Amino acid sequence: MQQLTLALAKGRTAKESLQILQQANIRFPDFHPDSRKLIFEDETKKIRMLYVKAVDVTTYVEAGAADIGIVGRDNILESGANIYEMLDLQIGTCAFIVAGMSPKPIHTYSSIKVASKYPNVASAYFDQHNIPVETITLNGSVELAPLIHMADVVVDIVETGTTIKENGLTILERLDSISTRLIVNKASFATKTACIQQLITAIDHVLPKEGK
Amino acid sequence: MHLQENVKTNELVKMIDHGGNILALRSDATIPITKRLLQESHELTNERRYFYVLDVFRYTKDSTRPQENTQAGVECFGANGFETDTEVIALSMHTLQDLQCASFTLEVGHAGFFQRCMEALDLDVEQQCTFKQLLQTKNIGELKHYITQTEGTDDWKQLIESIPLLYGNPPEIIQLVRNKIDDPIIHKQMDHLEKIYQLLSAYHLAEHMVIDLSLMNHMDYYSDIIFQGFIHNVGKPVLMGGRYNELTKQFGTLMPAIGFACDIDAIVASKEDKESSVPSLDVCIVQNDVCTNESLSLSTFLRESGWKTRVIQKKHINIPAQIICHITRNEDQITYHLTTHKKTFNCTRKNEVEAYVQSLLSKET
Repeated sequence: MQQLTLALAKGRTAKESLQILQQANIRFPDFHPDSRKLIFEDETKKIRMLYVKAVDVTTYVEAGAADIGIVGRDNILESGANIYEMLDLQIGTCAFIVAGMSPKPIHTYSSIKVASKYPNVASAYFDQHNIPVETITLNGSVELAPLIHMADVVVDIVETGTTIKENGLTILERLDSISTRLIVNKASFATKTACIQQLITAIDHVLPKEGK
Repeated sequence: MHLQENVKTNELVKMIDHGGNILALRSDATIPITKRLLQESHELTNERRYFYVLDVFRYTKDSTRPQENTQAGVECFGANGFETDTEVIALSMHTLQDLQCASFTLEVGHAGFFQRCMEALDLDVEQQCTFKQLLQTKNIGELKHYITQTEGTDDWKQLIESIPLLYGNPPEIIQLVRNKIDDPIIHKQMDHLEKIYQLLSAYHLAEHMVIDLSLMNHMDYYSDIIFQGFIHNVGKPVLMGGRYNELTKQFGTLMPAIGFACDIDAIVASKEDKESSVPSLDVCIVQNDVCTNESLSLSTFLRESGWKTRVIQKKHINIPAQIICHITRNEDQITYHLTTHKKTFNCTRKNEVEAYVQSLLSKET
């Protein structure tokens, strides 16, 4: 059996992702969140895991350096990667939102300045609504930008919206909802079909099913 | 100019000449070849077969892909039908075999299939984009959700939500589709794919074909079958092709045409490290416990006859060699099993092995 390489996103959903894998009988005995190691093998040596930054997962998978990846849909949309997005792991659920200081609806802006960790998602959204847009890329605490008048609005992901409200911002629009996905390199799917399908079935099997 | 319909203009590499005109570097080889041919003659009295090795230039979002890309491809004009389709597919597979790609898979789909599905759902242009996006990413969950919101009868909806899963062994997938929908156009497409598969068996290549009905090409001009080839350890297709009868119509004449192009840079990159580190071998003998003496004795015999020979343990099987030799013992009877990437040969004596190696490789030496 061929070995599969899995790129797993560090951060908020890593623990839950590993729990799902564990339920599907995929265990990484050496793994510890504080470990400095970057590569881990599972008990059966069939899966090699790369523990990488969330924004880099799509890069590893698209280039074929990893066959599969587990990462949030926010990173998938932002990267625009040409990959298969085959399973919704139903964890890390949140949504893209547009939020601003004033409750002024976005369609009333003649042009807009947006701060975001997701410049591609942000500019695609305003392009779609025919609003001229200037994007400012920030790597954290984007809520700050409207407060200091660096930007009119922010495009960010929220789970509950508490941080947004605590900083006195109003949610103006809700965009795509987001959750953690299992992604697959297209060439790996063709050359390692059996292994990958087996893995997907195993994981799909332990996911909660919609009430039918 | 009709190029806009096929090539995304923001992907073109543009320049301005001294007269202020905007020029674009060639972004694809098929379009200029087709255009040139149709300028020369509007009716072909016989088939035209061309090959090319060209650089194409394209901006892409994919940072792993260079803007300049060397493509080698073929185009066949004037012939329609599954025989030509199969011949071109077989040629693409032979190309990968000649390059000694250990294992390869050719995904075959049909551009008319999802067109027909989109008609059945009555999608507008914007919806078509979303739909294609969901298919291309095999996003089963969201596709299912999306389908429920569209117009269309239940049998179509059931077929369409299963498209990402319509991947794999051709006879199975074809039968699955036939059972799911009773539509003459779809059935005709399935018949066509089936004939290709059957004919590929005659080429001894059917095992490399899988059906992928969510397969779509970046270039929009394909009208019927489309295919992509993948080799081990390369993260993107190394060849792409298909039938593009519609493209010729855009240049004023309907002329059947099919072709494919190989991504030379990707193929070369996949071969580089292996070839620089390991000299190519004539014969590689795979050793096992029961035939240690015979393996070593044969290797000495072949080396004395001037063949580059190596004996390996079973676990490293990816040694590039012209001929792979396995030895088996049945009581006192030793059999030598010789395999090349095209044929196999069995014999029982060392000098028969040598004669066979001689007959196969003497041309090169």
